[in-house]
Amino acid sequence: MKIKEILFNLKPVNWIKGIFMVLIGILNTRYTIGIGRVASNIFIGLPMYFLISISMMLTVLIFKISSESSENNLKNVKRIGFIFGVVFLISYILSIYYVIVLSLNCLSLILVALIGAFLILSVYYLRNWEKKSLLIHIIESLSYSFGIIYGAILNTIMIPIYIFLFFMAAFLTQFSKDIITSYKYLAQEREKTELSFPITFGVQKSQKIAFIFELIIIISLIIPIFIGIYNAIMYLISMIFMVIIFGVISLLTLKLNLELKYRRFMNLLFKAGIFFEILSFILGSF
Amino acid sequence: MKKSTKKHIKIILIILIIFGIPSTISFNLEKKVQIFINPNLDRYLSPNNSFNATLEFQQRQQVYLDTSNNSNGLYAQSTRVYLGLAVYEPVIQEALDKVNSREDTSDFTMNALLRIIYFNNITGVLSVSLESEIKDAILNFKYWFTEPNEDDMIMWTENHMILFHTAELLAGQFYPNDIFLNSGMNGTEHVDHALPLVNRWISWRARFGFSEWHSNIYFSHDLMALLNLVEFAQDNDTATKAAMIIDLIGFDFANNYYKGRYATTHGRTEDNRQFGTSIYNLPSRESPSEAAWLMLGIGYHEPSDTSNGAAVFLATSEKYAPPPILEDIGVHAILYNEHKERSSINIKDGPTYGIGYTSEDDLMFWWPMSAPAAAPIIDSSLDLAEEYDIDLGLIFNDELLVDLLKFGATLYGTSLSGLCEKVKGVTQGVCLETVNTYTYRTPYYQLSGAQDHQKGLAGLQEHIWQASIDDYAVVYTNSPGGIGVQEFSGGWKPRATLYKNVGVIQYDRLSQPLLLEVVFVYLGLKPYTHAYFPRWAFDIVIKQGKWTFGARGDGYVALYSYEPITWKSKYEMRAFGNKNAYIVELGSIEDYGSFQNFTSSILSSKIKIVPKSVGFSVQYNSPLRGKIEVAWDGPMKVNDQEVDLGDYPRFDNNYCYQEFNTMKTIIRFENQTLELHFDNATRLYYGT
Repeated sequence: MKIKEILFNLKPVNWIKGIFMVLIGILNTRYTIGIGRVASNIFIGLPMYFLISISMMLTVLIFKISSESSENNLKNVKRIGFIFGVVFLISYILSIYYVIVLSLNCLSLILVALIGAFLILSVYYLRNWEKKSLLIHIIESLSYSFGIIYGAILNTIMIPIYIFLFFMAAFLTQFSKDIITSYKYLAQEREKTELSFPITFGVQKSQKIAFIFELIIIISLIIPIFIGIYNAIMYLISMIFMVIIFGVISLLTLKLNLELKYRRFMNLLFKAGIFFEILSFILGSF
Repeated sequence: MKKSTKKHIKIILIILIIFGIPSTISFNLEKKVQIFINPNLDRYLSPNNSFNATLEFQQRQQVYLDTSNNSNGLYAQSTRVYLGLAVYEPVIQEALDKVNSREDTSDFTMNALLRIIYFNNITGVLSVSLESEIKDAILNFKYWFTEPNEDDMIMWTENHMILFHTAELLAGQFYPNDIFLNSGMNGTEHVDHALPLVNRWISWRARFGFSEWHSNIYFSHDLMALLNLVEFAQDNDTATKAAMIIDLIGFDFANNYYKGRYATTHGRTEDNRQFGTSIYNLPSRESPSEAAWLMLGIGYHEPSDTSNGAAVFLATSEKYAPPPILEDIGVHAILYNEHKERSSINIKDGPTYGIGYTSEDDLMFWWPMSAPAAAPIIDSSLDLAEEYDIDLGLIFNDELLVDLLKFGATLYGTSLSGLCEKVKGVTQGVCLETVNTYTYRTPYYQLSGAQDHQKGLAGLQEHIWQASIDDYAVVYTNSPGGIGVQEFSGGWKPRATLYKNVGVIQYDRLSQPLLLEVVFVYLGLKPYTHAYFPRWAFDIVIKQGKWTFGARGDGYVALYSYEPITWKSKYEMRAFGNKNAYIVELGSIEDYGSFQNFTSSILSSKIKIVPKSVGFSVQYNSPLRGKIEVAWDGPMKVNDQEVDLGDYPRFDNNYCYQEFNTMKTIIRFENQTLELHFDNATRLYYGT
């Protein structure tokens, strides 16, 4: 695994998307919070989650390089584990500091601790699990989508339901996208005997799982309009595009045989879907 | 150089700084300070229910007339006509041009012209041509928005309203049979139109006080209109009630003026009255100060303030004289005073007081409170504007605001009223709603402010609190921004909570819709709170950690900032962020023995401030008052006892207790009583 590959697997885009999600979480729960606290949460929450997101993707990297047979300096689980430890520890210490100094709610700290425990335990016990591709997709998706819960928790412990729905939509979008993208490398992975999600859970079955996820995404995106989102009109404008995009994606997922031919434009549709998701979550907070 | 030598040099330098600079400053200050005229308490009183002007009031009138009669200012021309002297015609021509082109504030000018024309009826000093020109201007003027034709005049703020009504009444009286060209009505019809409006305004002030509370600008204009009514209104009841409102203003002055300044919170003020940058650039003299001195002898006479409207009108007043009791209270309250007062009402409480949100009459109550865009009122405001073709820019400051609100309503899929509710941080914030003002005075200092008033909302011209040691050694804080354009007044309103000599002032606000936040950024992002702490006005200023101390004479002030605060200039300190908590404590030589004891006591006091989701939780052990606890919500407690933050009665102090929304004020001091019965227009004074 080379540096370029490592960076590719660390997915810096997810770190950026992650901090966008934190911002969205903060903006969508800000009305009962003072502007001083909102400003602090933005200044503190964004970089903190940036570190957490990096930690998550480092965990993913550990999972991935654990399956590789080749050896080189970069492929070193201990070294990456150490970097993970340092990055996560910084975010954890900062969390403690801010909770004490700014008396942010403790739940944000507990959440960071739980994420840390989950990552460490999963690396420790599930690194060689045969179905670890499931875990990889979960962590990758969380690295992006969990930001919204984190952002909301910084503001309040009374998290509105639409925040969970936003999270669900974002999480499943990333998950579904990753499943579909896996088909691109299906042939190579079979040769390498790597255990990607479609291989582990079945090629046809994975496509069905992705389809179900996409249906849930559509439902999760529609419901917030009816449950007190800040600006339903502006959210609606962007949501219409999202529903159309995910409607098309789900139809294609249902109809196409991705095992025979991977369709590149599906990936583009997902990217467009993610863009409109982020846009509508922001517009909804206006 | 030896270590000990260095140490000695340091000590000498500190001594020089501590004693040298302040002495220089105080020397310069002494040169600037005017002579204070203390009223002599001997006076001639007429028996029972009436009184003559005290000798002192008459003397002050004479002092003012003697300086005013040389002025070329417009208002001073009333003095000249009153005294039978020739007027300075260019300034009257200028005034006529303004009135004829119906510029904003023409109502101020019109009241001056009317006073001139009434006095001229007795003294006859105006030339026939000038008198004719004034008459033409009076007959051509637009006296209310219900009249046709365009203008550029704001008619409905509290002060403008009474000035317009008064002008209409007096003009109608003076020319009862002439046809007023703009309205097509004759003078008598104008009197019939104006008289109920004048009385409506007076009645609101009697019941609710002034929504432009303690204004160090507009009280002066209110006084002009009221003094014109007293002097010239043919309806005796109206003239008497106007005099009674002037009495209430005088009572306000007596309770809140400290030395030469109206050292209290203001509903409407301007930056130039609130801060000075050095002894060479002092804060402007407040508009009512000359009137306060004339009425009660408090403060001082500034010989250069020769054409001050309220002062000229008082000096030339033959029918109004302040009741002696007010002059006595003005003197008595100098040493100690604890004064609580409530003014104005909340928009949501309108129906409780019989004021709705839809009729023209209702709107004329709300518009003067800067409430045309408040959620329950916006729709009716726009309807009324359309009915009389009123320029929206005059009602809402800027027509763009209405467009923005309409755009916002579409964007949020709500009605205009719904949007105004959503952005009430601004639409309600600018309204001058109920305010509970508190003033605590000792011979050494005064702390005054608006208790827990519209915390976290955006204001325009409000000045929420201030600690004063003398005219210029004044400390206060502010959080500029929002839709306010001024640096030291308006902006985001804090939760100010005051108890005697101690105050806790918290700044924060709730988040607003992003559209509005974008507007705030567009208008100028000001991510700081700041304190006005004019080093030049104090004998000594010491900053130690988060505390800043100042001493002037025998009065001391200490200001604590939760966020790190630094000097921005020799009069301003800034702390980053819009969220901050300040603690202010005042002291004196009587309390502490010395400034050093004051600073050391304060520095050793325990402070615990914890930031919360909104605001702070503050615990402070005041050396004088004990444990003080307060947060963003809930009560302020001193030694576990709740402090009364409001709602206050209309007045509550040693001289008067009056329930809010009542029409009778009784002021007592020693063996004197002043009774103001607005229901039957009776003004009674009992004294010996």
